[in-house]
Amino acid sequence: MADQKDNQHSAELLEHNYDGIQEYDNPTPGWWHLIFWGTIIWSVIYVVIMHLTPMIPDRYTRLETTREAAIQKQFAQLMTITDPIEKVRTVMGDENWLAQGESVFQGTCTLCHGQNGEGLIGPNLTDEYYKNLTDLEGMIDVLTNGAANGAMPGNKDLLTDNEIALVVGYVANMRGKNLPGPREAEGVEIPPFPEPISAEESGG
Amino acid sequence: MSNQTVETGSSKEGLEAFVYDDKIVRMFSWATIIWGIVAFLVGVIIAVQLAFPDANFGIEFLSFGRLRPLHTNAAIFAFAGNAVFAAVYYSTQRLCKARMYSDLLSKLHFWGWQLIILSAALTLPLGITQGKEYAELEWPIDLAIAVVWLVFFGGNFLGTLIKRRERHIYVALWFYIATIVTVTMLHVFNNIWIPAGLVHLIKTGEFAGPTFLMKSYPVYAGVQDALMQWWYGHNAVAFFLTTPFLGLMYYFMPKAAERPVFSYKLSIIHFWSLVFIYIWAGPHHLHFTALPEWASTVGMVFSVMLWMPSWGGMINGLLTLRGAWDRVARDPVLKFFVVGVTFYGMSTFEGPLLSVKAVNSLSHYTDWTIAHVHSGVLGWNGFMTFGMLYWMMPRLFQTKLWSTKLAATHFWIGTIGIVLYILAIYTAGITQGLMWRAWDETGRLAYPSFIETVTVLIPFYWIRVVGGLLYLAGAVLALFNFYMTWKGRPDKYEETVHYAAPLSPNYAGDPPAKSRQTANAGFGHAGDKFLQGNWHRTWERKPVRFSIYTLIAVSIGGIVQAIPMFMISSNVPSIASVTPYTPLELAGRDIYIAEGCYNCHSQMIRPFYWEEKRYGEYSKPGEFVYDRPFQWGSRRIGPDLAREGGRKSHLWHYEHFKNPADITPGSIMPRYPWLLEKEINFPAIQGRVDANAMLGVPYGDMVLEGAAVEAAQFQAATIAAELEEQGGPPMDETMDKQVIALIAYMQRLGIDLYKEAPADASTEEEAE
Repeated sequence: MADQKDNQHSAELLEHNYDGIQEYDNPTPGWWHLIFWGTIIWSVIYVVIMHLTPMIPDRYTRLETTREAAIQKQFAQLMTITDPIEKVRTVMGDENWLAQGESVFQGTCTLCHGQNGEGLIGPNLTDEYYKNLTDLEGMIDVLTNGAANGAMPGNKDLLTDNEIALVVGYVANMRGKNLPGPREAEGVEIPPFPEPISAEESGG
Repeated sequence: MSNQTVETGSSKEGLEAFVYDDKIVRMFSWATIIWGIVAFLVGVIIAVQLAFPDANFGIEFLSFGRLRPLHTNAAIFAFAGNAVFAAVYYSTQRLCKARMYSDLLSKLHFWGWQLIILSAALTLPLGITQGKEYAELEWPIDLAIAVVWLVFFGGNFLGTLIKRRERHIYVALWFYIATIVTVTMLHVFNNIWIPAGLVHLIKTGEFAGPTFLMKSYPVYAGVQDALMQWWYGHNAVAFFLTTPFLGLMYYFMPKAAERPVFSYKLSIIHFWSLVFIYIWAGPHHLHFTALPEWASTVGMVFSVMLWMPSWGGMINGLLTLRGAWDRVARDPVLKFFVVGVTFYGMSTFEGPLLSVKAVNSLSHYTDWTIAHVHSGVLGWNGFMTFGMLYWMMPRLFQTKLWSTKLAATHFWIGTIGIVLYILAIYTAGITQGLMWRAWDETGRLAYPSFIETVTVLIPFYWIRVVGGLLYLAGAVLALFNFYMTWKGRPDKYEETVHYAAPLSPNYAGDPPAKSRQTANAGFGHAGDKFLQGNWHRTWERKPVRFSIYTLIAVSIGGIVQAIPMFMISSNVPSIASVTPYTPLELAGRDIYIAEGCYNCHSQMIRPFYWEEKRYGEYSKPGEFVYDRPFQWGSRRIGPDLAREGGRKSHLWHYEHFKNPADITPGSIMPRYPWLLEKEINFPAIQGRVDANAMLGVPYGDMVLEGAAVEAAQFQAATIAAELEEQGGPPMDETMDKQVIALIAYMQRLGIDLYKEAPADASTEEEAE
């Protein structure tokens, strides 16, 4: 195989010979040791900082903080309103709140009610006919507790009251768009919803 | 056996004559390339299904959830497995100067392993699975694996080491030892179960169908099952796809390059650090899950520390080629090896990177992980295997390789295939990960509907198909090349007789190390002698002792992680309102497992704001105490289901199983029409409940004969009636169908957290 004395390297060949395979007596590269010990020292520091000192809060506390901050940012204004219907009307009168409502609607409702509320497994939300409810209070109740023996699931474990107000406002706002959907109109025609509170009125 | 001492008087006095068994190597080599093509083909099929779900033709045996385990098992245990055996049988005989210990064991090993693969290929499409990744095969096959691996393979290998004629064992053999010892340990401890069907048959005399006879439940549940599974899963990568391939590299690379190995010292230090550290890294598969954070941290820091031990192998491989680089340009064998080892280096850098929690929070559940494993398996395992086969085939068939040019073509097609595959899937993974977590300053998800994050991936999925096809085409070229080479074999293989002296029992010992220090310092001399590694040279003469040391090194990490997890209850705080699944839900859960839903859906919401927004409250350890096996999943091809219960109506689920794309335009979930047709195996439900009760699940009176069946039938009728009310088909048509059991399970997922604790839960609370 290779020459006993290798011209390119100063390293010596060991006596070892296995089926013709020989081994050099090269030392392990210095950078290898450097990084290896570096990772070990880093690991110790990491464990100390993350687990043995209070410098970094644990993952649940971090989530808590993010959530609080997000809720403050998102709902600060809405949270001052205590009357649920006033809350919904405020949403209905503000483009920004409606956009928030759309986001929750997209994540939660479209799988049954269609991308734009035109209906799919669940009824069309854009016409004048409603099942299981006759006013906004009814809609809040249906969203919170569900209806029709589970055909409409309740969301009380999933959405906060503020998020439910967002969705109710967004859905109430769909009324009268009359998008064509795969289902016949269902339920009964109900009285119009109360007027939105516009952003100027509410002072927001 | 073929060994005889050469008679006195001949020039080879005192030497023993022996012949290597190359036939067994030829058999394993053929099995490697043939199973490899099968594994790649199934991979291409399921890759097409991801972009175009109807490519399963509505046939249940071809659906993604059932074929994906077949693909992974075939790639790991059939393709890589047979490659490892071919390498071990070829190199061990030569490194030990001895024929394999027993030709009979060799044959039993070969045929036993092929039967195991065949039984996997039959049972997995039938939905017979343990539901744990890379440990899907059910209990009878588990037993067969234990016998074939430990008794036939391990026994044969150790026997060969013991009757070897080479005094010291070479580094390749160290890695083979680590492989055999550790895979045995992993396999046994991750597959401790109660065979529910068999127990039911013995207890009641009632045969509830062949599928149920194969059914088992693991003794571990929830968090503990997850820890054991990923201790296994991660180290299957370590000790099935890494250590044996390092052994392969240490033999075949210096042989093919005709160069000495770069550094013996590096071999020692990277071998021991690798086998010791690897075993700790499993929990990095469970970052931010319900696994306690301390375990997650241990998994992470050991993964980071594993970087250099892994790179030790890469350095020793690549630097062995010093002085032979000119030949790399000409020789396809070396080309495969160089790229294979380079991919090893890339994967083992990426592994520690992905194990860092911050990175993992983005990469986990995305295609990034899929890209990572494919650069490892296609690049490292695949190319090392092809390099070995191209080097070995002409020697095994005692002729020249039919076409070197075709081999070079294979190399280039394969390389382009891998690059296309991984670039597309890296992009897909990072894109999807970023979309999931994107939320704006008002706390709103940027992509609230999951489907948006799926349809955007479809172009990348098609590029992956092309990459996979190229890699498959390369393997077909290899098969053709090997076939033509085989046709050029001599009429009768020449069997070269080798001669070597048996090991004398009174070996004087290795020459003692001399201190190279000049100063007269005792400690300095001792230290220098230690660094020269003579103590290790002694170990290399004693394979049994070496195996025991290896076993100790690989046991520590698992013990340190598992014992606290099982013994200290604060690791899994119990939740009083979490109660066992009803019999029907349990049956539904087993359908979920059989259909392989966990291949696409996780059941684990991580404590991140954006995950809570999308899926609901993060998952708690106590919610999974009745989950046998745990179904947290590792990839979200579809959305998380941890809090799916009560989210949608029965009717929605019914219609969705019938055809998901009707409900969600663009959905890539396959249709499950058979769930609407096939009947629930009611008699088996009693066996399912009884087996869980044996494992400590408080089922109370449900274990009385027929009680569970009756309860299940009642719940099924209730759900079918509700389904009818919601506008579904008449209840008579659905109440005995599998879809009802599955809906029962879906509606149960994650809702216990919000229930009142049952009145009789006081005992559990006291236990806290």
